[in-house]
Amino acid sequence: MAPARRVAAPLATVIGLALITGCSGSDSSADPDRVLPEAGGDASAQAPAPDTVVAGTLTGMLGERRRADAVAGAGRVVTTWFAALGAPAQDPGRYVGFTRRARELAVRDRVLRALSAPDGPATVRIDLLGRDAHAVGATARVRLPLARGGDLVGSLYLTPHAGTADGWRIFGFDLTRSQEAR
Amino acid sequence: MKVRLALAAVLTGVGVLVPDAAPAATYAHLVRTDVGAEIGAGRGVATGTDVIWILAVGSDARPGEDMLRVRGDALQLVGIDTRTGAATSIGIPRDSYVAIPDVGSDRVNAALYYGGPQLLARTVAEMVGIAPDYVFVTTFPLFEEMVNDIGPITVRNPVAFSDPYLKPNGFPVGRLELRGYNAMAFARIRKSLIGGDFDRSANQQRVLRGIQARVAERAQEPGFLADGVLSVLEHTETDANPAELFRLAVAMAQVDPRRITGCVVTGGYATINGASVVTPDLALAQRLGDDARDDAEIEEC
Repeated sequence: MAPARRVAAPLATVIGLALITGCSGSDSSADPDRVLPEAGGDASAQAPAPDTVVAGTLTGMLGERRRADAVAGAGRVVTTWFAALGAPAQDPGRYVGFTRRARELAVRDRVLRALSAPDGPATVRIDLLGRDAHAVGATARVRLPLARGGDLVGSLYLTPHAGTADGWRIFGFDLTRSQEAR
Repeated sequence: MKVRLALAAVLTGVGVLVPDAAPAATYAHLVRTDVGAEIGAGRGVATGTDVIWILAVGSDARPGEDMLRVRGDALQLVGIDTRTGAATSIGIPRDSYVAIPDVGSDRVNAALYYGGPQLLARTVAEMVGIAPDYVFVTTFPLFEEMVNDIGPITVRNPVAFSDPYLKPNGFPVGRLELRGYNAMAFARIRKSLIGGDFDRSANQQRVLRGIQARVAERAQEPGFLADGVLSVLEHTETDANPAELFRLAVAMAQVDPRRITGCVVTGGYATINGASVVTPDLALAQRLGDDARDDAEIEEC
């Protein structure tokens, strides 16, 4: 299946949010990540496995706190969208967290239209671009098992968006459905 | 010395590499024009289309010269349709004799000298019928460094050519792998080409295509695009904001290599006021502009 790649310029629940710890470096640091369970999360054996959101590469300078906030915000936008994939393909609510233009593209995109609801926890790695102590761009590298088989893999691109709950919106996507065995 | 790819290279192939440890300095200019529109949400999209147009200018400014006030040596109007991944380039021979608004008739590249990027954008807009959203200006030595940084590019050369100064051994016909210097020479040699300025402009488009392909190959490397944006922010004089540049970088990297087209505004030669100039086919320029304006695709040159 051809990949869906669009740029125009996003919500789900982060069941498990993991953030790296340690210093936020400069110039494309690629620190190893450590996954931590969300504080206060219910570790019940019956609960669905949580999505995993981790910090990836940091390009530029960003304080540790702001980096963690950016990863959490962008991660929530991405996983909230995943949770909305059960909605009908033409339902604008299916593309929650997308900018208006990105939503227009997504509604018409055959790869995205064909996506089914998730069938397991997602893994999301958030690469950030920092400038003047603020996160100004994010790339979410994702993998999401789908109910109808295969995994959704690729990247979502986000920029800060004032006035939104999570502070970020998806403006572009580069996704494909992988049929590789999990 | 480690260098970093600039965002501009992602699209235009006119890139900037800067030493990491060097103090911030201006290596290039990215100017948002007042005749186009910005991309992205939250800042207004006035064109009603999803096509971004960037006028890429290779400047032959010498060290110490203001690259915005010398004559541009290479002019390519590059369009990207962010909905489809299509991209096209309209090559404008630098010696094209055209009307420069509020100045009179002169070579198109003189518009940069007379009025900087804004006047150059207006001049090209009147010639082609497409108003660039941005003008990107940089110099050839930096272009070389950029190609070295992203790795060798591949071009398809249809005609062997050489230059006694830039490339005595010449370039053979076929698929060629070029690094920085050779990419620069491939894009700059003019005199030995049968079609002169027109063929050189076509060669510039071959180089741009090779660069785009190479960048697209590397775009999934974590931090690759962000690194380019950061480099632009630190070393390019620009009025574009960081998030805008990030969106631009993603758009550039998502160009579909199968949907890249390119044409050159051809024409004739003349001597005007003692100067050898190109007399561009303005009807062709307008037709190419009409064809590409809304979808960054050209059916036929």
